[in-house]
Amino acid sequence: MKKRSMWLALLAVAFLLFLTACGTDEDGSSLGEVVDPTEADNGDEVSPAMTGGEIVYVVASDVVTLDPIRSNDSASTDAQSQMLDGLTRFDPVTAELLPRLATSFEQIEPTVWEFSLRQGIYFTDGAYFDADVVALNLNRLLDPEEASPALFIVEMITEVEVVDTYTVHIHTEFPFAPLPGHLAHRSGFMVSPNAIAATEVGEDVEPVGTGPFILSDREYGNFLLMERNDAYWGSQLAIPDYVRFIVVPEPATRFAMVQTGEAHYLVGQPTDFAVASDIDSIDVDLLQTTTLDYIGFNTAEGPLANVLVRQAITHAIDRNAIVEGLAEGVGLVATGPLAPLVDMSPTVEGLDFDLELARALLEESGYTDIELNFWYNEGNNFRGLVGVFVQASLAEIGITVNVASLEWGAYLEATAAGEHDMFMLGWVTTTGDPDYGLFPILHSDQVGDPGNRFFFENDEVDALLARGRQSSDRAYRMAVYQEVAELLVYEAPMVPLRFQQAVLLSNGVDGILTDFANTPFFYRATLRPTVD
Amino acid sequence: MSTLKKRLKNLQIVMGGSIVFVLVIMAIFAPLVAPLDPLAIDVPGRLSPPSAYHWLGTDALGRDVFSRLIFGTRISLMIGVLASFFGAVVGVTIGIISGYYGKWVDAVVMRFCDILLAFPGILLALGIITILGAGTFNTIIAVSIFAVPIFARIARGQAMQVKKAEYIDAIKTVGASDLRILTRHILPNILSPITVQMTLYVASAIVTAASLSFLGLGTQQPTPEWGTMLADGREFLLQAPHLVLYPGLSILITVLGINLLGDGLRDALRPRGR
Repeated sequence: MKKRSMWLALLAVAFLLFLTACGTDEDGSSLGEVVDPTEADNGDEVSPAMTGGEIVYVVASDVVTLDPIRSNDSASTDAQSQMLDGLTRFDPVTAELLPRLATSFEQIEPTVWEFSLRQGIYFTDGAYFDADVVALNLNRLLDPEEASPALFIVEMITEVEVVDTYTVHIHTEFPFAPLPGHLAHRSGFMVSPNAIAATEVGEDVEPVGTGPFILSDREYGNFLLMERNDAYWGSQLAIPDYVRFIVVPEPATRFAMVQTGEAHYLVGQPTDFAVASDIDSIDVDLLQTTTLDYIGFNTAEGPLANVLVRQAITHAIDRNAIVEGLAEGVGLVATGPLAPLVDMSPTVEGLDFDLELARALLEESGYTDIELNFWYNEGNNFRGLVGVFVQASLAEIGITVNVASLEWGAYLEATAAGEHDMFMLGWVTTTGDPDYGLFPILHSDQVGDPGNRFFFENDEVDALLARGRQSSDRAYRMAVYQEVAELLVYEAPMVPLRFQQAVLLSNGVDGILTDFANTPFFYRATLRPTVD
Repeated sequence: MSTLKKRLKNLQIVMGGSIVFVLVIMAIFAPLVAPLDPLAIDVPGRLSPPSAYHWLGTDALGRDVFSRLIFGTRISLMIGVLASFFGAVVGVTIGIISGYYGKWVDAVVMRFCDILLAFPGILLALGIITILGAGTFNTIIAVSIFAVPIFARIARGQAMQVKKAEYIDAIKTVGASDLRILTRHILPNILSPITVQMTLYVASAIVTAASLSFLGLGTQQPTPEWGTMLADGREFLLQAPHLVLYPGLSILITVLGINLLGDGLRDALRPRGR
């Protein structure tokens, strides 16, 4: 009797498995119909690829918020960038700063920027886009009660003046050259006034924008689905019907999903590059970004407050081994704080790998028996590897390092509170301007949570950074940032490691545009016809 | 038929015992057995497949996997044995007290054990690690706390049985103290099921500890530990499958060996006719 019921149970399981197998067939094929290219509302060559369909983008962590003024992570930025537009945008192809919802921008006085706005644009809820909407959005971002983590990007703005329906004057506290670039940041995305009116201060706004896609469905921790905005203002409607973000925390699973075609797009790990290059189904692309990977020091107290100790540690870490070895050559060895792609990027030599010199500097500092912690965020295996590598490297000069990983939120909190000695992070110069690359993380006004987790306070650097952001003279700014970069090499608040190259993996899709901050845009993406 | 069964049982003990013996030797003489320094980093030689020099290949930092596995035996066995031992000492103590005295003592102790048992093992261990912080020593504490109610229950049941025996009544009448009865008469009589349970628990302690390390909450870098090695290797599943294969096999073989031994011991120590 017992045996019989077991067989019955097995049969039932087998039947269920069969049923689920049938189910995936239906959901799995998500291609849309072939559209006659002459019907498509654009001048691009669409044929013979598929138009429509659903693009699946597999991401490591869920979108945290769709409110542009509140997000601080790449998944959120990626999602918002499909649905919302800002006044300006860096062209994903040419990296040029172009007007977007504005038609032009001009510095009419040292402290006043004039933005002329595009006419006839509606939000997806029917609200009209005009100067009042710009003021409403920017004032929301500037409101201290909203406590936006991106406030530092626009904090120099003193007033948003509505001149007429399509003209806005933005007044700044001091002459601020990089303002149009800063407004290309996601925090400057325009959201419908109705959505803002329906939101309390401190709450997340609904992502009702003017972009090529509209939010369609969302399941927290699982997926986010966007559908094409058929009333999009741009000259070309988006090609895909849907874009789906799927959350898969396991890197190997994400990779397998792209390999098998279950997902179309993935930003891979450095080590995926070599593996994916050998797999026919995957298209691999390396994209140089403005992201710097660095090891930071807490310069506030203890041995790391001593510049000699910091220099010694910098000399003891072989960056080449990290980039060429651990990152498998994906990325460039960083000597200074700004990636070559950043505008006006300075070039500096950096401190060489030299263990003898490191030992000598350490001896000169007078410190012995140094014990330091090295923190990184949980789940970032590359940083974990670097941690163990640094641990072994510093053991060579007699420094003990304890490597530990912390959960992302706890990690940010602890490093903002200065509980760390050494930590590893990346910084994306989203605006492509050196001010964004340096000021938020190195100015003494930004100590702690705003971004200066080095607790680095240096009057000379402060003064230079202030001069750099207040001038519009390119040659002068270049000289200033060159000087900052050289000072930073000597002061060594961080060990710049690598300018990231993003490993972009795709399968069966063309036309995904990715900008230098590694944000993908899906509106031009076409699925390739599948061959049976 | 019964002889065949007996032979199989003996085979189990021999096989399990041999595996455990080899593991213990490897753990004790790890520095002699391991061909290379388990901590030596060699970045250019990273992720290399098994070869004559690196028998089981190298990991993402170019460290020798075989040497790390050998040293990992130390950590895993140490955690397993110590967690099981501490768990048994505390569990048996409160278990025999509870079983011997009965009434409210028993009720309080057993309800406490029920609460602990209500949590799945790994969840309880996670909770304890969250409070204590990650690390090898804290892992031992977390895993042994979970063992306490298991041993307490067994000890209590056995103690209740033994205390009804006539010889206990007899020594009571000659005025033996409770302490003497508990330690000299009850404890020795319940040792065999406890020994079996201890052996079996070593296996599950190793798995729990490896799971904690896999989640990044157990033994920390650069100490070689099987769970950590498994977690680190997972990222390179496609490039270097040996990074997960061998630590996984190590855990499998160890747990299998200990369980075979424990099972065999249980049958060998089981009183006849029951």
